[in-house]
Amino acid sequence: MPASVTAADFGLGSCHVCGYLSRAERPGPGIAWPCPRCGANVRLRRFKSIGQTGALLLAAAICYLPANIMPVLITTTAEGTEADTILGGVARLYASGSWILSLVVLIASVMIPIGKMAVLAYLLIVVTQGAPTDRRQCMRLFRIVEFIGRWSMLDVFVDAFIVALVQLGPLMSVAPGPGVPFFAATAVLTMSAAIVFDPRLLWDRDRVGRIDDGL
Amino acid sequence: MKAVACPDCDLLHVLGPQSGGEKARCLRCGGVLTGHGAHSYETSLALAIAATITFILANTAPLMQMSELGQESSTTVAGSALEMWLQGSEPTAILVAICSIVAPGFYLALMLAVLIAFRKDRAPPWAGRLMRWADAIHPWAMPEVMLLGTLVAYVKISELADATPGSGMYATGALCLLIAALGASLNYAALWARIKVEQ
Repeated sequence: MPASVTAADFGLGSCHVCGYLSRAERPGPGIAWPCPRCGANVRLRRFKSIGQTGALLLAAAICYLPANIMPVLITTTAEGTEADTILGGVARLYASGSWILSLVVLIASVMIPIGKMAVLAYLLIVVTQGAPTDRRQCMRLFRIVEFIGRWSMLDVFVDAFIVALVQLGPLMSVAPGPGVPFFAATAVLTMSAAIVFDPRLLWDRDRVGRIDDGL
Repeated sequence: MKAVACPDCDLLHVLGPQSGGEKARCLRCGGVLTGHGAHSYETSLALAIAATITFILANTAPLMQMSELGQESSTTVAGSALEMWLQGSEPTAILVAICSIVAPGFYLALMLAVLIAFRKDRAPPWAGRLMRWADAIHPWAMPEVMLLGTLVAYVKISELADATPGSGMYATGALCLLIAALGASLNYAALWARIKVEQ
């Protein structure tokens, strides 16, 4: 293992967009300066990353409850009206014989959002409490969350296409239920939480003089 | 030789010269330090042009048609966002439009402009700004999620009525492959290195 010398040790900030290393004109905690190459705001660490990630995560968790309780699709046919929740839709898909697709929807709509929220919450605990843990493993978890996070949008697209297509007047029509915006919000909020989380904070415990995120 | 900080853990590395197709990883956390795309700009430009044409097709051709008791309906990507809006789910409509039309469209337009600008050895400074915007918009462009969404919707609708996949669905499939190939063909570190910084 080489000596752990980071860019921040030299007062250098690496641009989160283009990777260019640059120095603040007047150094100080929480100071931002424009990247000389691409113009993005550069800081030693992402500004208030912990607080923002925590707030977005909390909001996502709050939205996830109504997203699952309230219906996402309301089908009206000559026989009457039926309302389906996300899990109800998975069950219907399974009953219709496409168990592979029902598994895909179950993974994308239930397992990925819950897994994302659990991993980000765990990473926040590791950063703030300094829990003893293998940080390479933490990075692996974070990269998985970044990579698969977008798939939790799946059900939003499914609902939109069904609503758009099944519009046959009084014969049969499908309307979006009140759960859809909450489910969409969960997907967007967890994706945003992963974007604002600065994984470099996981490694700052090694440093003699800690850098915080400006909070 | 140049100094590079790991984007994921900030560890400083000194990189020697690399040949095309090589990827440098962080010693401490395994983060990718430099890109690995080995293809020429012409390949990337060709993929970007092909993706843009496919994107236009995917957005204008119907995704699915459905018929039931003599009544027919079909929808495009924009049509489904519009219907969501008309049905009173405005935030969802905006989100669907952003993730399936606005973000991929802007991403492709920006990458086309960037690749044309980067054909010279010394890229104009505005190319950096465009790359920055493309980087910010990239996570929200999700044609592959949309494609799976159309497939699930297709199966669900088949339960209710006669449904047939439209040419838009095939175009979306091709678009996913082309955007993925475009991303893999680019060497971002090499592109960024063409923007000279005024000291």
